[in-house]
Amino acid sequence: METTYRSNIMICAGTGCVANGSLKVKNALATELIRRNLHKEVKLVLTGCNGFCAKGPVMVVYPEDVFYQLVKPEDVPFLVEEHFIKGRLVQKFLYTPPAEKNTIPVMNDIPFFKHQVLRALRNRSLIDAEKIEEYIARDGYLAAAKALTEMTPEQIVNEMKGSGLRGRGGAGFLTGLKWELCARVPGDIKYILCNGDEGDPGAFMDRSIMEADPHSVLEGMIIAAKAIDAHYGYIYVRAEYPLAVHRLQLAIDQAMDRGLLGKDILGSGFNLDIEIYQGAGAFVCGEETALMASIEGKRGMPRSKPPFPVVKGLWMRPSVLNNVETFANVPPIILNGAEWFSSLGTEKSKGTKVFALSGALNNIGLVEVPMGIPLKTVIFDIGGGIKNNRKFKAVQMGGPSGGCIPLSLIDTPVDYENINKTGAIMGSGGMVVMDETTCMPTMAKFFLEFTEDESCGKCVPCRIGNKTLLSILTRITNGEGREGDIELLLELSQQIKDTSLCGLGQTSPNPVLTTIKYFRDEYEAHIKERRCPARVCTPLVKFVVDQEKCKKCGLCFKACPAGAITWEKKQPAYIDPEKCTKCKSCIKACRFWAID
Amino acid sequence: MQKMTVTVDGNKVEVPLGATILDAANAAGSRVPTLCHDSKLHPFGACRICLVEVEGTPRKFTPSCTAPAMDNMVVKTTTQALIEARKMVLELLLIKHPLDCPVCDKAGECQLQDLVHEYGLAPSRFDAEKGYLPPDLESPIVERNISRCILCGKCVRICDEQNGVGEWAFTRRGIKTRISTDFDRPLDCEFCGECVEICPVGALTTRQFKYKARSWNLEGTKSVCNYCGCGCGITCETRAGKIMRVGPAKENYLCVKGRFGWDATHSSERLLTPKMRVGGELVDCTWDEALSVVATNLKAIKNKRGPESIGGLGSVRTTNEDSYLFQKFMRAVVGTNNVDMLARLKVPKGLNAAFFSGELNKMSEHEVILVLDKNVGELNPLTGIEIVRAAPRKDRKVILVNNEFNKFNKIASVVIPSSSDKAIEDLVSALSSTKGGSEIKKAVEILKAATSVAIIIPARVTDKEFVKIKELSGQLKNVTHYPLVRRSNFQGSLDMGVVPGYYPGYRGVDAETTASFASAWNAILPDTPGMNAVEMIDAIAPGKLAALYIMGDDPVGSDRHLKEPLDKLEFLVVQDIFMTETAKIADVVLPAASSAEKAGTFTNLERRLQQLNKAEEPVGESRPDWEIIQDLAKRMGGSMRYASARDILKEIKTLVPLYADLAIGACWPREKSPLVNTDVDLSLTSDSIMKQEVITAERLLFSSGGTITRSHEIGTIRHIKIEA
Amino acid sequence: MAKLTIADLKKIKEDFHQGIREGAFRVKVTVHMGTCGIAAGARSIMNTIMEELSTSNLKDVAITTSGCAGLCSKEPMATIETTGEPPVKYISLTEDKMRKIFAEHVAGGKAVPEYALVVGHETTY
Repeated sequence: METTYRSNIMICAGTGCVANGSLKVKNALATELIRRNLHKEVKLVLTGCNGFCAKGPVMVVYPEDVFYQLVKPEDVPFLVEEHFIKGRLVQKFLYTPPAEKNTIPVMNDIPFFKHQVLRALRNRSLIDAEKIEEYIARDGYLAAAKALTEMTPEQIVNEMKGSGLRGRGGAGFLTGLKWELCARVPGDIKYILCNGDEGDPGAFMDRSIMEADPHSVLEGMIIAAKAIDAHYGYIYVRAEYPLAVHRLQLAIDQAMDRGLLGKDILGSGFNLDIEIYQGAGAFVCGEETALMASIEGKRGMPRSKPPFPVVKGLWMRPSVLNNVETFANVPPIILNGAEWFSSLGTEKSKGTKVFALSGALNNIGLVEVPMGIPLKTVIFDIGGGIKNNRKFKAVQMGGPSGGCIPLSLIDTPVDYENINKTGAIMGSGGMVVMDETTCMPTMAKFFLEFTEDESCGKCVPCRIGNKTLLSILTRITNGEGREGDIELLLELSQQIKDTSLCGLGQTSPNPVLTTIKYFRDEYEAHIKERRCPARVCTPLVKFVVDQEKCKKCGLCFKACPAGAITWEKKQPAYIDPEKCTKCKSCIKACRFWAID
Repeated sequence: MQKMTVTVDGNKVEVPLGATILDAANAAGSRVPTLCHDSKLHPFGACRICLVEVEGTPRKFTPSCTAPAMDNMVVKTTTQALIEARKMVLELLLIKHPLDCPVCDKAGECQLQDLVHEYGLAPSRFDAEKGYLPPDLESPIVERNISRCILCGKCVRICDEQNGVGEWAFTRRGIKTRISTDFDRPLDCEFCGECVEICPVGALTTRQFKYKARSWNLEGTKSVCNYCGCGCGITCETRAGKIMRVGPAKENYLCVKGRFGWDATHSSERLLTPKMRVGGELVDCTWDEALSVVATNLKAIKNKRGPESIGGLGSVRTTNEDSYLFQKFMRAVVGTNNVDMLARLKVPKGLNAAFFSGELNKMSEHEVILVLDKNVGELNPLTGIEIVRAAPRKDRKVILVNNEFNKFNKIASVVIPSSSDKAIEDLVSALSSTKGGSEIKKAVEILKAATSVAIIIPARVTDKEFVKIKELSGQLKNVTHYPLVRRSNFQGSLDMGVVPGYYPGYRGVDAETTASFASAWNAILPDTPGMNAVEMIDAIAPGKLAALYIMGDDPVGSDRHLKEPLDKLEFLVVQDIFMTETAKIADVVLPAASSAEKAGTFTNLERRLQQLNKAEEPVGESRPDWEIIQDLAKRMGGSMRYASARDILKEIKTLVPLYADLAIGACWPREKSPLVNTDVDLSLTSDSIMKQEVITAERLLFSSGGTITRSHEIGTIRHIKIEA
Repeated sequence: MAKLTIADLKKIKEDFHQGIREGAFRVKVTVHMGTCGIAAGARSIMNTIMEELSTSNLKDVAITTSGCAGLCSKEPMATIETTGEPPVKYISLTEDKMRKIFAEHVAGGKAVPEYALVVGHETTY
């Protein structure tokens, strides 16, 4: 059960405040709270910078929302006495707004930043990815040093297991457990592998980390290598990520030069060599066994599991493969402890998750949020809501392997369990947001086209099943859907999921299943009424102006590139079918859904 | 070994550690259908037809061919859900697969057809999308019909995992995936046809069998391939008494010659009737006429010039029974020890003495395989296959001597890039010193550490190499030699005593042995040693040898310079299946039955006794060699009364201790050989004759004496240019 | 290069922060040059700053790069940090905007609110 605290003290631990001694203040507070027996009532939380660095150390006390500034350790007993025992505000430290109003908002004023907590992205915009010193200055390689010199492999595994970190590539397997399984397998040669083969449409989490903070990936790999006793590692990156490859290579070279990779790392006697393997960009190579086949120089085709890679992986040797984001999460866990990591998140999903926001949002970008944050917050606050004042329709999570989540489930907390319940998956972190102009069968078709094309072709259900799903979706969106097609889609989808060899086939029907689950009426409209509610499927659009809905504004007339629309002020528009080229410019222009 | 208990469909079975669920199901007697699985190959798990349900696993179905069985696992192989899943897989396959079974050569033995029949599919719920792709008509031997392919990948895997060739590969992705060669060019491989054999559907078929017969009309006869010393078991499949195709007996490999070269037996160049020389021309005659002429002439020459003026050159391709009777005829009926085989000029030194061959299927038991002849895969294909099977699948180290590049380079741990003689010398000197290049050093390091070593002995070794290889072997632990023997029954013919100095079973020609054979054969035997093949040839010009009886060999075809001496013979008899170059200059030509047309036994290079059975009737008037010899013997006053080849084998067993208790399929043990631990060399050398191998194709692989040149199928690839 | 020890790691960290505290540079300009930034024109922004810097006589300005700042749809972005002040993030930059920011913020020490998105550090724990 979670303890309820009377008060929360949020102490800023941004760079500025730490430099001004905020950690010392935090320690003093902790001591004082225990001395006063208040530590079960008042919780201490370290926060990121909120912009008032010049007045640091700063802190905010909730629920009163009182802002104290320029607090020194020696002031702490007085402050605790006054505020928490006597319940009085301490005027001396209260913040007085300056006379001249600062017109630039601070972080907490901007929803995009306010809800984010950066762990995997902890160095974003703070360091130059090409300078190892800047990474070291931000505690870089201290975790590796600790793991190599002070910790046994068991201790590392236990710390990782305790943290509750789960694989950020999508499947969500407990990272510590994976390491433990591999550590237990006997073998003189083991491999530590990093999966940077990010291939989901709309996902760019890993690329960003590799570009912005390559050393964090290397450090995570060093720690993992020590845990499983591996001395050789590969980072598999698709060649379409030239900047990521360049910066990773630079990072490896710098680390080699400084003895942070190679022989006898930091004088610990531990050896680890890491090499980049550039993939040719096949989506399926993100699947772990296909990735290993690819490194082995073979065609990137998955093989059946078990045996699992922790037992027989790369070149049939025990191997641990983790995603880029997973590795980036490792060093702070080793430095700050499992408890620190698990302090954020939900019961079974700890820490934070990086998401790539894309689609019909105002703020497109890369965000890191604590697990359990409502989906609504991510989309409407961080994402800034839907572009062009349109309505939110659904968000596709997990890319082609995931599913869509409709408006009715917008309060779903973002964690592995709750997202899975919706039929979507957490995935590697792609969130593609769709507005009302998206046709859901067409969206499902889009992802099926992707998986059908990216299927390696090895197993029958994925190779032929997905093609068959696509054929059915194609006929539905062409206005040739048949009675029973929905049931056929459902049945075939389930069979493909149950019988396919690898994760690609086992998840590829998810877009179909979730769109039918939440938008069955759209499928029915296509099949039974020969109508596309979103006006996307050209063969199903009549290109006729609805006289009642038409507001006579003339926007369609102005948008038509073919001169097919006649319109005069105060008169409804008319589309000449002879001239109409069905380009849908009028439909995009009309704000009243008046064109069918 | 640790055992695991698995419950399959309610039956408890014990399986060894490492067994798959499929193994357990098979052990429990539950039939799990498969399409992409083959016990010869690594598990693949592509077709999803072998799915089963395993209690307590997170996923609904588990592929039984890849998933390891676990102790106390509970498996169900046939539930309603599984039947539905399998039906769906089949239904999906049939979306693409053409239903051209009436014209598909695989019909009747097609695994897809059988499964669809078994699962009784209803009409498909999906629209067919056949996507017809034209068949590949450019490749020799093999026809590729991509539209029929179900992408099980067996061809890709067998070509890579077993053959080490890797001609096939998956190309493209998704629904466009297909099996292809590099850039879709015509096949340019070893043409062994293993991919055709293993293809579960009609995607790969042979041109040789195309539209020849329906598989269910074929009858199988087990026999032995007659092309090289490996002596692979074959099944001749016949329809109406004619061979339609040849496949491996049981689950073994066949090379291009074994699988496709049998059609030489149907060659239009086969000898159909006996011929005799009348007025300088060879003309057809009856058996009676031909044999009378031979008997009369041999008797006359024997009487006039003595039996030692007659010689016999035996064959390395005839059965043990034929060879046994041939030497018996020469010794007991003609009365001379002048009996030999020219092929002794082409054997490795030390065969049956310094170098006894190990068993091929035990090659992989050796930790290290030292390949001293880069052409091993071409000369004895099965030996090559065993090396490939051992290296990647069983983690054995291969040390290859190769100054060029071939398929073994890919699997070798160390490649010594020099000629065999130099490499052998370097290895020996590096064993006792620290000299040598980096490859030699690495090789020596591996060899020294190995607890057992298999050495592939080159097909031809010089005296110097012979000494060095012996020296090398002496310094390594548990060495097994694998000499390369190109001729199919060379070992058997040697065993049968087709050598001047030995009676059958390597019993030397001395007074005591002669006496015992004389009593066994009820004949007067010569007491002087005979001439060997080279001496016989040399004896023609001075007139010491007047008549020659050649069975199943073509000296002129092997070395055209031999025409001159043979022309000088007073009387030449050639017994063969083709009108060879030698037959053309003979006085009498006797048509023999091919190995597919008779019964008998072979002894392969492993010294394994093997049974040949008659798959079809001898063509024309041709007869098995032993029958011809027996008939001839009768006409010359000998007493031979064998009703069948089996009768001859019985006599062999009584006279040859090596064969006394030798069952079909067993190898005679080297310890029993009278030549073991001797320096006897059964090879011959000559500075004048047969100095070069006759290569009838661009690659050694497609070349094998004169018979292969009469194979139409092999002929279609003979001209193909192979680049390393 | 000499191999680092753990003590070296700590020293590098110390020296680095020492450098920041002692104000080796008065202003640090970070141009966000992830793939998104570069695609949106970060290189020309970088070139502009370099030009401006070389034509000015400022010696106390450090120019550096970092990866994606997270708000890809507002790239190109730059962060300007003056000693003792929280960093200011500028978004949707153009060369002209950058010149103005350079003149007013980098040289003048006064932020340009109309181009700025936010001030402060992100929450990194």
